[in-house]
Amino acid sequence: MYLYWGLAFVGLIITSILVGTITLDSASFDWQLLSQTRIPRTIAIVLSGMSLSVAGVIMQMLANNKFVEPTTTGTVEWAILGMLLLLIFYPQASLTVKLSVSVLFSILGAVSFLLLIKKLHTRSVIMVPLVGIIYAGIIGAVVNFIAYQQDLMQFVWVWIQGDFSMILQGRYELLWIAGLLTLLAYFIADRFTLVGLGKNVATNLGLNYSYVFAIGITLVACIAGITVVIAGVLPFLGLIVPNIVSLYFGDNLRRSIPLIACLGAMLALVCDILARILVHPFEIPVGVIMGVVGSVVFLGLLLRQTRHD
Amino acid sequence: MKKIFLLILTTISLLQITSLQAATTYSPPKKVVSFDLGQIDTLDYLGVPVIGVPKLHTISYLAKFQADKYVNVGSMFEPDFEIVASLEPDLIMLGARTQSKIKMMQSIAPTFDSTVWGNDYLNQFYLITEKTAALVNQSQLAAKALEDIKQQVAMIKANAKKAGKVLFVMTTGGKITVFGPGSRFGWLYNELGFEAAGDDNSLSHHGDPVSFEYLRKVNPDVLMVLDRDIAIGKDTGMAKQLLENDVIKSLKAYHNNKIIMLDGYAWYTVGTGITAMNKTLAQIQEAIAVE
Repeated sequence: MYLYWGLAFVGLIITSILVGTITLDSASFDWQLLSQTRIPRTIAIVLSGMSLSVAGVIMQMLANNKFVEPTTTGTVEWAILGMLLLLIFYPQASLTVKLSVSVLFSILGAVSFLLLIKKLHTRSVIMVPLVGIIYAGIIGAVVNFIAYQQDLMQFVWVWIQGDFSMILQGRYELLWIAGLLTLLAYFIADRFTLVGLGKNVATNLGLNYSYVFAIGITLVACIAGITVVIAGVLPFLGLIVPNIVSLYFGDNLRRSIPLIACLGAMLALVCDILARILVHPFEIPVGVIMGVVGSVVFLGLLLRQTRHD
Repeated sequence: MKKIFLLILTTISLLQITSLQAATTYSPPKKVVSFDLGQIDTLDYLGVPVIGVPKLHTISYLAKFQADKYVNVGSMFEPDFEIVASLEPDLIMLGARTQSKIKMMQSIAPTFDSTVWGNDYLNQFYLITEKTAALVNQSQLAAKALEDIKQQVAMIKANAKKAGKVLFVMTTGGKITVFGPGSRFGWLYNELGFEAAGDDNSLSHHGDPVSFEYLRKVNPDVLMVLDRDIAIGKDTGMAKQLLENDVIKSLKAYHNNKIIMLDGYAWYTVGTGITAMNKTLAQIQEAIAVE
């Protein structure tokens, strides 16, 4: 079974390399095209998809709720706010500065959200993601307000749109950091599984809860911050992929993180290939397609949940 | 008796100045408020003072309107009706960006809709400019300016085909969109005679987003770049950063020095003013000049 999925994954990677505005034919092997745009783009998609999905599942463990992830709980909106302020006050910032600010603000976002839901005493599992969406909306409104005052509205929402069309050799390499963080998450996966059981249970089992919690937030924020700067906002990925994997493989993260990573990468590849094909030779931003696909699946998962309540 | 009655009736209706497409005044309006940057530009060229402008948008070569003697009447999209009313203008001019507010404006003062949109861009521009000039009694000066412009257009048309295939792109927020003959900048191809690279005939007025691969595929002889961010006064440096890469360096246009960074303010923000049109055409002429 894993073999088929593995083959599908490789198949998607190859498709992604082959699909684009320019049709490749075997007669002229255009290495320049491949190395400048196609391969970097494919790698960027795989890394983003992988890391965002894993960031999603870590956040779900931290929040003890299956329906949270960086793009639906305000983390990403905070990152956008940070980048917007950076743009207004220091527009010539280098990429490193941009990434640092983005990560910093993502940490603020993730921490503030998790503190917020600690105050929430509710029996319904749906309240937490709803609060997340509301919180994201509030921060989004702040971003809108500042952008509006600065006459940057159109700019910000184009800028932040998840889109791999501008990925080039030399422009995406810092995404590998997100990839490495995903690997790190895999190595300490067991600890996150314990965190997911709740503070009391985890501490009873000998886990240094605060320490692992802090590492978890840092991982999530770094991944969210880096992907937002390089690829834009890719919504719902961290939400639907872990939930789908969890339906079939349970919540043992040591087992499911590799699967989540692969499925996340594959989903991102499918969305981007569609983005390139649907209005060929032009492109639809991949964030739009992910938003559509993701929200439909999200609704399905929520409805499935409410039937159990 | 009946004849006198009819005479009085017709005189009264003639005297009623209704705010129509072009408000007819018998003496040039003394207090003009304009939301259309193109008309601010034209009126400035014709030497007609304007009392109220949207200061948020008068930058670059219209920066003199930032001075205190001009009143800020809000932005083009959100005009400040109170301030406009308090100025008691004789004439209000507005363009496409403010067109949705025309009814409110008409209740304040006679309003001239100077929108230029869609097909036949240049002819619309000539017509609107002539109307504006007539309103302020500067028809002769305007006619001369338009003659000059028409000559420039003719010269460009004569040389346009030699320039090769032209691709017009707009950059904003780090993304690139392409505008073809069917788009809002289509007059570049349709009326200035340039040959369009690629086969985009979309009618999208925000352009079609493309990747660098598209630029590589189309490989135009001339690449015209409009940085929308600079055009609205927000120099984020992104366009330059965006275009400093290997794909652009592999284009024909790069090697022939035919990547043209257009004067965004004149092209996009102002557009239909005499000075703006002069700048635009001059830049195009210089760009396609054969060395």
